Amino acid sequence: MYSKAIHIILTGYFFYNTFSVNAAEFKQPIIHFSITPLACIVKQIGDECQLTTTVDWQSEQALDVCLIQDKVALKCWKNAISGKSVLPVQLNRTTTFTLKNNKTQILAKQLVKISATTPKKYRRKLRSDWSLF
Amino acid sequence: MTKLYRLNRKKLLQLKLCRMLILLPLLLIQLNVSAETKITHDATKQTENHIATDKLHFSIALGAGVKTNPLVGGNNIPLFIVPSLRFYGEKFYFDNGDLGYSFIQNKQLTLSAVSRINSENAYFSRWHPKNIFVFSSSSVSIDGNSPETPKEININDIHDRQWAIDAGLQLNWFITSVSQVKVQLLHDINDVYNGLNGSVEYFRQFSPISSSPINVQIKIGFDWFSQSMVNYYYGINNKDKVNPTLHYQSGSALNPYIKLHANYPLSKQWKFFSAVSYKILATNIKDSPIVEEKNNITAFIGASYVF
Repeated sequence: MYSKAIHIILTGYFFYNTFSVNAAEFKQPIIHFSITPLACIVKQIGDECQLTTTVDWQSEQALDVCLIQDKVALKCWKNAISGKSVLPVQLNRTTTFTLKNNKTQILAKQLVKISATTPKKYRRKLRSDWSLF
Repeated sequence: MTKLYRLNRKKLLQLKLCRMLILLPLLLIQLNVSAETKITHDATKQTENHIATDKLHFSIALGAGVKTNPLVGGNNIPLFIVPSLRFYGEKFYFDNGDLGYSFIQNKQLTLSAVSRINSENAYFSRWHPKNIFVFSSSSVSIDGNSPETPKEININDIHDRQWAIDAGLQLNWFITSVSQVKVQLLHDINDVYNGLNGSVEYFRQFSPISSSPINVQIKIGFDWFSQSMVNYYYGINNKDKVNPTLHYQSGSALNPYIKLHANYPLSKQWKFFSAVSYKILATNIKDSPIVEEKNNITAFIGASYVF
């Protein structure tokens, strides 16, 4: 009798948990996030690119969010439903910019690509891979 | 008794390694059945044998493996973390210890001046032997047969082998985009053994299953050591404070080998990786009183990560 009741409670708890986690996953408060430009052209891959980017986001609800580049917060907004900012950024590789809340959850992300005008040069390897073995 | 036990353990290890040699390709084929990848095979082949210049390429292999040590009482060399560091410029290159300059480069041939540390001393740096018993037949018994009286060499009387730095020429002949022959001839430049060593190797890369990203590399070749190199590392001579009747001097040595590498991409940066190699030691090396194995085996299984 007791074991049946415990079983029902645990099953109910499991379904509640599953449902609530799924609901949280699918409920994205950010309805718009853009960062422009989306690409930067450098002479050679590895060269540093300096960009003036325009960041724009909007949300259905007031949020505390930060714009993150490589774990560094470039700009934060407190209790805001939208944000727009012009920021200077430096890149030396293709980078993902993320909008995170104060729980460090990623709410939105955008890739900014780096392309090179000089194509990569290749040559034949003179030792095979893992020749140390 | 201790030596007998050690020998048995070494034989057992070699037997296990031989089993790995057979089982690894089967394991990789098995892996292939369940996994998927988006990498096209032609693209893999084209890029696998080429390398981007002016960029540092660093990879690391993590796993478990061993390189056997043929010396009497030599500890096998464990392999857990193996780094790979490469940098290729337009002509200059550094590739896992090889420092080179390619002064002739065309589609089929590259001729380079190359320098590197001779790896033969690696066995001696992991050599902690007891005294060696040599079956000397210098004295003859009444019935004319060699009595094979064991004589002891005190290991403290044998001179330390030194690390040699070799320099010489390397020719790469690119037969196709996935195969090549490499020829090397080197001489030591720091007056260690005052001799030559060389190698000839045929390399071929292929996908055993056409619909699979599994990549196999096979290398067949031989190392050649001049007489002076063999005698420096494996001989016993006047430099050693040993009874002259126990001296061992020999000729040059040719060690044929086969190497098999296989990898399977798991992601953009991770690859499943395995390697086995089997080298037969030349008679002039294996007959040395300080050598107890007839071959040299390397086996490794794990994963590689490209940074």
